[in-house]
Amino acid sequence: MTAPLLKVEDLTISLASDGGSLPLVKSLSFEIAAGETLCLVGESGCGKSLTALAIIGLLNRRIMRASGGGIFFEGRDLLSADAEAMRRLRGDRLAMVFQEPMTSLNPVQQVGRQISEVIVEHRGTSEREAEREAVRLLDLVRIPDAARRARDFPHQLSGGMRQRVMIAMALALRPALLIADEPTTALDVTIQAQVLALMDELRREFGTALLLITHDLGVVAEMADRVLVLYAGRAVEEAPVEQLFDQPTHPYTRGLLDAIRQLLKPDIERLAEIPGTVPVPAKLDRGCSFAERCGLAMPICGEKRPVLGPRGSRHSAACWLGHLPVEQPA
Amino acid sequence: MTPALEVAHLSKTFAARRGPFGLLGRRVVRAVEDVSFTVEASRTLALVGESGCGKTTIGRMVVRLAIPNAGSITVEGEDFTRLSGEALRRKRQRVQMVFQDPFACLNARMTAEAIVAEPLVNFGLGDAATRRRRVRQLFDQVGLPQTFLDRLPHHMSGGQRQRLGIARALAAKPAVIVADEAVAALDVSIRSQILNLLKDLQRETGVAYLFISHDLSVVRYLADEIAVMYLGRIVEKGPVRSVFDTPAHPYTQALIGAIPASHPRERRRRALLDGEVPSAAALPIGCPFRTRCPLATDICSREPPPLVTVRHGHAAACHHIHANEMTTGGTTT
Amino acid sequence: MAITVSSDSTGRGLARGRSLAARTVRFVAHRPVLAVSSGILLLFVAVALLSPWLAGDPGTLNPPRRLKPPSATQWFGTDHVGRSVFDRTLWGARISLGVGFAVAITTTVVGVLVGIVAGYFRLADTVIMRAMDAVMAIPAILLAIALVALVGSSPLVIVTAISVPEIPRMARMVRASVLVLREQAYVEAAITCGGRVHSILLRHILPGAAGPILVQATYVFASAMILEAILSFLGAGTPPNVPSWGNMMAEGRQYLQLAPWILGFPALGLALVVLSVNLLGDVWRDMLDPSLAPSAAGVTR
Repeated sequence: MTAPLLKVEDLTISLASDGGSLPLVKSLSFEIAAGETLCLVGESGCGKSLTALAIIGLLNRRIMRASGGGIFFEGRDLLSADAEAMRRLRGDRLAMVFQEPMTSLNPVQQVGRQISEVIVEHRGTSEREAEREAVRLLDLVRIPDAARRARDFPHQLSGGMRQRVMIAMALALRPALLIADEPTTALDVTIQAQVLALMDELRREFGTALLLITHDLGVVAEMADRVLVLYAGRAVEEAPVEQLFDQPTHPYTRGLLDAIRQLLKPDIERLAEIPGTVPVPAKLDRGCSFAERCGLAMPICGEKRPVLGPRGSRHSAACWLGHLPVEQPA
Repeated sequence: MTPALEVAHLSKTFAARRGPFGLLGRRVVRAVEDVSFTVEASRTLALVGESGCGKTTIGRMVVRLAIPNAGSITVEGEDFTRLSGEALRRKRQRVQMVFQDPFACLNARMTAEAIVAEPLVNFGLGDAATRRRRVRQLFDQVGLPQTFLDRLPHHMSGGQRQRLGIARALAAKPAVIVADEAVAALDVSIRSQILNLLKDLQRETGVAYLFISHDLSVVRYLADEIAVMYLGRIVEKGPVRSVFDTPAHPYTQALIGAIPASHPRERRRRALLDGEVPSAAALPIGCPFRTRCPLATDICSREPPPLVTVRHGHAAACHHIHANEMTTGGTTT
Repeated sequence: MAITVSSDSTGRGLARGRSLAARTVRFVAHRPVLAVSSGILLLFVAVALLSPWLAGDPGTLNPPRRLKPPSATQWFGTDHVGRSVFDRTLWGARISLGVGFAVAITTTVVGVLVGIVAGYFRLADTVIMRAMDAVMAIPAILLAIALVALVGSSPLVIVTAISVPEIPRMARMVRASVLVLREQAYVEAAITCGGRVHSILLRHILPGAAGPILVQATYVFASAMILEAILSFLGAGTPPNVPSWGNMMAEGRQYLQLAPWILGFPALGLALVVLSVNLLGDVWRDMLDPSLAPSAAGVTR
C-alpha cells in the first residue's frame, strides 16, 4: 500500500489559559488515502472542528496549541510548517469549506472575481483566463446562468448557492484534500441533498480526498467510505462505513445510531436515550470519558482509560467491552 | 369540546419598500397565505417546510409576537387576535413558546429559578411560597436537579438550558405550547432526551403542541398530524402515518426523500428535487411549487390548486394528486 | 462550535484563596491601564472633594508677589495678581470635575429615557428621533454663548448648554441598542411570559444596554470637561471670580511667555483627567464586549 495522503499522528490540541493548558483534542491519530472520504463524527465540543483547523493551519495560535507526533500531508509535516508555506498550500493542495458560507466569502467582491483571484494567485494565469475558468467552475457546481451569476455579490445568492460557490472556490485548483466542516448544516433538507450529491460527484471526478466533519449520521451514511467517531476529544471508534452501521461496537456509536434509526420507525413508543451530557473538558480524565453516560459501564471503566483496539478488519474501538462478545440490539 | 388552538384563514404580508425612501413603491411579500388548522388538547400538530415557507411566522402569530393581516387564532374558544392591552397579556398565559436557541432565549443575568418563576410572577400565580414550590416541582418534571436553581444559564449545557426553557413554558400551565425548532440546535444524543421529555409532559399535562420543524425525521416520533408548508401555503395536511406512508403532494414526497439515509446501503446518490425555493416576493402564478415540480403542466401555471381531501383527514393541494398517487403509490419507509 | 470552560477547570479559580494584597497586585499586573487610569481619576476626585481643606482661599490677592515661579512655598507659583496657582488649580478641579459629572449624569438620565422610548415604542420613534436630529444640529458653543448672554453665567447654565447637544448622541446609541435587544429571543420570551412593559424594559432590555451606556457616559464626561474649559476660556463659561481650569488658562494665556505655569498646571490637570477617563472608557468597552473576550474569540468559529 502506498503512503497515505494525510496522516495525523498523536495530535493533541490544547486551550492555553492562565492556569496552564487544557487539552480539547487528545492523542488523535488517523489516515486518509488519496480519493477517500473519511467522516469525523461527533457532537459539539468533541474537537472535530479544531482538528480540521489544525490540519489547515488556521488554529488561533494565541490561545490554541497543537502538539504531538505530527500532521503529515503528502509527506511533509504541517505542524512544523511556517505560515508562508501553509498559505501556499491552502487553496492549492489543501482546501476547506465551512459551515456558514456567508462569513467565508468577501461581502464586497463579486463571487466570480473571488474565485478567479485564487486561480491567478496560485497559478499565475492571466485575469481573462482565470475569469473564464471561474465561470466554468460555477457552471460545474450547477449554478444556473453561471456567467451572469459570477458578477453577483454574495448577499445576492441564496445559502445553497453560496455553499456551491465555496465548493467551486475550494476545487478551483484541484486540491488533493478537501476538508468540509458541517457543509450542509445551515442548508434546507432538499438543498442539503443537492449539495451532498454534488460534492460526492465532484470528488469522484477530480479524485479528491474528502475529510467531512459532521454531527449527522445521516450525512455519514450518504457520503463516507470510513468513519471516525469522536467523543470528548478522543477517537472512540473507527471503521469502514458499512461495518460501522452494521456492527457498531462502542456503546456511544450505538446510541447515536439508535437515535437516528428509531426516529424514522413508525409507532415508536419511546426513544432510547443516551443519558446525561457531554463532560466539560477537564485537565485530568481518569477512565473512559463516556463511562458516566454508558449503560454498560463496568468498574474498570471508571478507573482505566480504554485504548483503541482491533474489532475486525480495519475496525477498532476504545472500549473495555471489546474483548467480550456483545449481542447486537434487535 | 373546543379545540385548544384553532387557526382559520390566517394571512400575513410584509411590505418592503423599494428604492431610496421607498420611492419605487412597495413590494408585498406574502409570508403566510390562507392557512387553517386545528390542534386538540393532548395532540401535536407539526408544521414542516424549508426556510422561508412561513412556518415560523405562523408560530410567532400564534404567540402574538407578530400580528396577522387576516384570519383568526382562537385559543380555547376565545379569539386571540382581537385582544389587546391587559386582556392580551392575561391571555398569553394560555399560549407559551419554546424557542430554538436554548442560549439566546434565556436572560443571561437571571438565575434558573428566576427564569422559571417569571411567568408565575407576571401572571400573578400564587404567593412567593407557592411559587417556590411550583418551580421546584417543574425542575423535577423536566429533569433538572434542584442544585441548578441558582445557576446562571451559561453554566448549563445546551440540553439543560432547553429543559429550563421548557420548564418556563410549562410554568403557567398553558393550553398550547408553540415549539419553534425546539430540538434543531441540540446534539443528537440530547435530542432524543428532549423529544421524550416533550412527549412525557404532554401525557402528564394534556398540553397541545404546535411543533415547528424543518426536519421531517423528528416530526414522525412526536406528531399526530403534519402540515407541510411551501411558500406560505399548506400544501399537504394529514395524520402523520398517512402523510409519511402515502404522501400525495410531490413536494412532500421530495422532502421525505431528502431525509438522509439511515444506512450506507440505502444511499441515493442523487437529489430528488432541483432548483431552489423562489422568493416569496415574486411568487409564481398558479401553483407556487410548479417551478420545481416534476409533474407541472399547463393548468399548474394558470390556477392555484385547492386543498382537496385524498382520504380520511388527509388533504393535499395539487392538480395531479390522483395521477401522482397511481404512479408512485407512496414511498417506503 | 463553542466550548465553555468553567473557571474551576482552568486554574483561574486558584486566585480565590490568596490574600487581598496578592489579589490586588495580580489585578494591577493584569490590567495596568485600568488600574492607572482609575487611580488618577480617584486622585483628582479626592482633590476636588477635599480642596477646601487642602488649599487656601483662591481669591487672596498678593500683588507684590505676582508672577513668581513655582517654589517651596508656592508649589505651582503665583499668577499676575499674586494669587496661588496651586490653590486655584485645586479649587478649579471642583468646577471641572463637577461639570463633567453633572453633564454625564444629566445626559445619561435624559438620553436613556428618550432612547428607550424611541427604541421600544415604534410610534414615538420617528417624532423623537427627528427632534433629536434637530437638537444635534445646535453647536454647543453657540448655544452656551447665547444662553450666557440671555440669562447670565452660572453652573446650571453651563451644564445645560453642554448637556443639551450631548443628549441626542446618548439617545441614539441607547435607541440602537434597544432596537437590537428587543429582537432578542429572551426579550420575546419575556413578552410571551406575560411581562409588563416596565418589567421588560427594566429587567431585560436596560441591563443589556448598560455596558455601552456606561462607556458612552465616560466619553461625555471627558468631552464636557473640555467644553467647559473652552467656554470659560472664551469668557462664556464660569464667572471670572470662581476659579476654573478654563478661565485660569484664559488668564494665563497673556503671560504664557513670562509665566507658563499659570496656564500649564490647569492644562496638565485637564489633560490627565480627560486622558484617564477616556482610557477607562476604552477598558470598560473591551471588558464589556463579549466578542473581545479571549476564550470566546478563538474557540468559537
